[in-house]
Amino acid sequence: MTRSLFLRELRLRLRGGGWAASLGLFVLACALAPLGLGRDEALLRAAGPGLLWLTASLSLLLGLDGQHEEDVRAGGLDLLRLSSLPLPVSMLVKMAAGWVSACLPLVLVSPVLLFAFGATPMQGAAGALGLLLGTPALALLAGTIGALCAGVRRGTGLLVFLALPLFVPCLVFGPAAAGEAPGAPLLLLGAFSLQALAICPFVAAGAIRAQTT
Amino acid sequence: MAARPGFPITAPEPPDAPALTYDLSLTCDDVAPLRAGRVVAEGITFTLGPGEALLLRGPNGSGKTSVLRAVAGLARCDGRIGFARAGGAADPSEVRACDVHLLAPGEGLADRLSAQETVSFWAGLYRADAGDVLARVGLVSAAQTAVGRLSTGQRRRLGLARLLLSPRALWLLDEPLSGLDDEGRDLLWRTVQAHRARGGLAVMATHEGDSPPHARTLRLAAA
Repeated sequence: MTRSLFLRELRLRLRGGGWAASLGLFVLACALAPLGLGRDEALLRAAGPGLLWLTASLSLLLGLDGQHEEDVRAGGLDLLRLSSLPLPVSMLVKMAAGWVSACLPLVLVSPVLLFAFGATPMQGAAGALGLLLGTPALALLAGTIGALCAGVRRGTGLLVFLALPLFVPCLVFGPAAAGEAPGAPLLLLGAFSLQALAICPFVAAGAIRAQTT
Repeated sequence: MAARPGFPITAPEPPDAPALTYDLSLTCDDVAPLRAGRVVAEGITFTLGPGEALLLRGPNGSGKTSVLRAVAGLARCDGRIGFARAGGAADPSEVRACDVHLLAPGEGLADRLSAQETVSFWAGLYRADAGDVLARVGLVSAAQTAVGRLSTGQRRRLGLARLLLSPRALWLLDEPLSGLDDEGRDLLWRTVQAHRARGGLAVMATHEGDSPPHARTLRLAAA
């Protein structure tokens, strides 16, 4: 059951094209950053991880937008509520598909971008690991805020203002993971994702219930 | 509220009547469904036993859809909605998770999936075998077409496929005839009759128009 729902969601996400816009913005913004920052190598190396996380969290809003609108409008969520799959599980599966389609490509290209900014192999690996540990929280939070705004026309604007402040812990610890001592920041990123995992599916399910009841 | 007492029900008995497979019954006692916090209909009282069907009729805004959604647990309501099986009262959340189909105009379709992919998703969700269900609703030629490109009638037929796919006792049909051609209507009636012959329940909300044989009618007044 979860498998077929995951397949459906993944297909919809991949065909929606949001992931491509998100990946394109991420790569382009990072590639163009040196033009704005100048050619100072030390500066670029220092700014790289922070820039990466900032553009990642902004571009992910493109990729994670509109996960529930169609299902609220056409009644897809009514069907899920009338199935033996608990709604929080359905929401978690939807968010997981969002992470695979929007966040995973960013995680995969991040080492390349970090090397381009002059990171050592060690820092590049730690930075990518940081994205791997931190982006699940972003996907879960964006999915939850998306569920809250699902009934609102043009919910994207709200998503930006509501979700970005919640991304703060990732913006603080994410860049630190590509720094000198990656241990603690990586653990904190993982903890942040686990905390989101424990809370978000239930909040999202409640939001959907409130809006479709 | 004009809740007219219905006719006594005689379940249709085709010569080769299959054995009764459902034993669910539904009781609504003085139900008043709410839409956006407002009571849209009052005093809805009826009981449906295995094989029975109820037609909800009334003008737009009289609360037909809200009654169906309240029975499905998707709308708040005052009053009592109870389910029972042969053994006694049944847990409403268990019944709604396993034994209720809601057919509504949106059909829960996603425009970017093909008809075939939609059916496989449902088959997975309901742990059923998709089989030749697309052929049974006459959508074989449209199997690979994206749902967003299907016509209104084809979308309704795809919705019907969900009813055929997974056996569930209670069917809540919201305007099931809209958008269907004569052949589609015929298919719908045959499907509903076969469902009732197996002891299934059907509650249908329609404006005016033809009605299935031996179905009670509950008229809702304009709000």
